[in-house]
Amino acid sequence: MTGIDLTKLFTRKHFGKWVAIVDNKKIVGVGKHPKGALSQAIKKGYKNPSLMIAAGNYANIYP
Amino acid sequence: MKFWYTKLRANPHLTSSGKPYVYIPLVDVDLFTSDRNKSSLKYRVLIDSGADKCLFHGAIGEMLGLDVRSGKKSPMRGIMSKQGDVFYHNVIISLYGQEVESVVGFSYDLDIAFGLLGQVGFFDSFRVCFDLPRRDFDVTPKFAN
Repeated sequence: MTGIDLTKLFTRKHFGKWVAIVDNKKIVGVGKHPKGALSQAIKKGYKNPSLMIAAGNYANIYP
Repeated sequence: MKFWYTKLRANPHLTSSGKPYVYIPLVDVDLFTSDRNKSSLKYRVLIDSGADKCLFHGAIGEMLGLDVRSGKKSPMRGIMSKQGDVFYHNVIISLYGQEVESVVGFSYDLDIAFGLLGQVGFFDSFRVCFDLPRRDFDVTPKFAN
């Protein structure tokens, strides 16, 4: 293994939104607020997903 | 503890390699408030040796049950496209069972996708060794729990 690859996980519909992810493989919640992403995940049975913001470009992450 | 860099999509015109991806040192941390009676959650954050302090999005503070704007307020520039406000609170950061209590800044003006683990509150408790060519990095607690 040479790192965690999230390049194919996020699609255009996720960009700019909070996502709840598990095992670096699956998006189990999406929302404009992390609370929305987490509640979707919990409804699907995932109690402790990782929260982050999905983007189409992570280069130059500082403005 | 060894961690892998995360490969993320990027505009090739903006990467130094010209490739459509970048490798970034991200980890999942579990966050708790000091009283531990409120919610905890898992947040993906960037280990950022250039950040003075730990800085998380304000919405994450709300989810921890904090009244974010009641914290000590401070202006901040540098990682935001415009000047923003940061509100400081005590939070417990747990990295795979190694816990540190840190003063963390929360901001609704954060323009980047991740929280930041910076010098005060993280690097003062953990030793970090980056190895980008191998795509991994080591994080070692300085004081075991």
